[in-house]
Amino acid sequence: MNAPQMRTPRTCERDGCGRVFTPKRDARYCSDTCRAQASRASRMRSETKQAVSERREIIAAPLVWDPPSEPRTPCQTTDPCPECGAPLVAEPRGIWHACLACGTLVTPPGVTAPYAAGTARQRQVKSQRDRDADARALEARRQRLADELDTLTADKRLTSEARGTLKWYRAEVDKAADMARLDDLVEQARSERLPRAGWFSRPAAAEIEPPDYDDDDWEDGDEAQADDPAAPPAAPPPGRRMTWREAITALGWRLLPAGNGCQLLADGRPCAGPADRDIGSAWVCGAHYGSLGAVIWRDYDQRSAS
Amino acid sequence: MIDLPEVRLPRVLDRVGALWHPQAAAHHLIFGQTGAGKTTLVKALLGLCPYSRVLILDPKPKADPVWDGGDAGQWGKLVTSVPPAFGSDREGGGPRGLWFRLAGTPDREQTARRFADALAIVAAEGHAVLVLDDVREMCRQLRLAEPIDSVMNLGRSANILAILCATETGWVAGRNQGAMTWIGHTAGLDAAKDGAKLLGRSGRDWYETTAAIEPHAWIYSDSQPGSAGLCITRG
Repeated sequence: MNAPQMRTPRTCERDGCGRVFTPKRDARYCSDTCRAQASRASRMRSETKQAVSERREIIAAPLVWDPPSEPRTPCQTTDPCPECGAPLVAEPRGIWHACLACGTLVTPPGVTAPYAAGTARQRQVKSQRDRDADARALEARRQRLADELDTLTADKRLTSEARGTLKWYRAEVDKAADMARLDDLVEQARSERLPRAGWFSRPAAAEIEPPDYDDDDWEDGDEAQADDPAAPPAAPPPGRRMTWREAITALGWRLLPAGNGCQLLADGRPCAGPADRDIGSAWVCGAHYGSLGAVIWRDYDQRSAS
Repeated sequence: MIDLPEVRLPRVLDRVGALWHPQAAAHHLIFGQTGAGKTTLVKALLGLCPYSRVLILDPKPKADPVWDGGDAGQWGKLVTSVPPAFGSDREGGGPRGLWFRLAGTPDREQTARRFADALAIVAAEGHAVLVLDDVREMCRQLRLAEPIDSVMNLGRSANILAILCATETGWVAGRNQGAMTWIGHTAGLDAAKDGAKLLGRSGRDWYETTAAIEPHAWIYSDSQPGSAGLCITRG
């Protein structure tokens, strides 16, 4: 059997009460009123303490400001000086270079790299004007090709299939968004066979060829011409002028794929001139146009004289 | 109001001089209303880069007494366009002939074209300190937000440092890329809140603090290693 709990008198813990009472269990306050008052006082004390502590933090915040501020010094780069070959030094901001041996400021290689030839991997300068010029060149070439295709399509001697093919090219030219696509279309069109329909041509077999069609009506020369209207004649007539392509070959030059500039590769170097002269299958600059023209006329004069 | 340590400007510039580099802290953002002293602060910052190629884009079509005061070309040679590899012949202004100032014209389209061309050159070449004063006008009125953002993004890879001056934070490309932030004098609660936000702070105390900054006084902040927090400086 448990011994009865001892009940000892206790002093009320509320500040300012001090009454001695005999608690029933483990009560700390003599009455409910005292407990409520003590609780309220405790809450206020806690809030005040927090406010004081925050204020202390603000007051205690160090009002000194002394972060590490070691000045930056010039640092050596891997780029050599163009004059003496000594390694260049980058100024403290790391923007420009200097050669301490020569005592001069040196343009960093990265500044001139976008303008150096053959550095396609470098960022290239393309201003709004450049973009405008590119767009104009694209539109001009698109229009030129469209006109050429329209002229070809208007040829009544072409078969329906050939006209259909040309219409497809025409639509693709209109849709082309860059020069590369136009280059590709031109290349495809060059290898395209455009048969003509006419009294001399062989009609499409499945649709209109009569069962008793006689192939003997055909002449060999006509057939060859009908299959490939663009094929050059086997023997050029005497006194005919040299073609642009022959003139290019005669000079030992080559044609490059169409780009923004002159398409000629003269003496192993691409020409940077503006392509403003049409030589049929390519665009060249004025200077090269003149040179090619001179070769053609010289050759023509020689042939005429002989 | 928050109590901030008050520091002399040369001491803050020492700290900036230690940090400001493409490989560390590349860009500044300076926020304050007209007359807050933004251009004066930019001039103090340019004092840290006498050997650097500097391009100042100033869209104001009229002469600015803060830039134009002093010797001609002292704060950059006034140009209407910058050629490729500008500064290679030290043909500009500033202490070493490497500073250029491209000002605006009354024709907004023309100004936008000039600035876009200059930004394209800087983006391609890199190696420049770019000062955009004021960047909000360039982004909103001149519609150059895209090229400005691109140039700011290049920062480290192309050795580009930028100083962005803004009177408001809306429409400003690259405003979150400022490794060093300067909050100056503004008017109104909204601007004070914007200033506190740029410092990464909020709350009434901070709004009161940013609203109380006087002209030519700045709260400086950087979040780089060793940062001692914010301070207030005058100059």
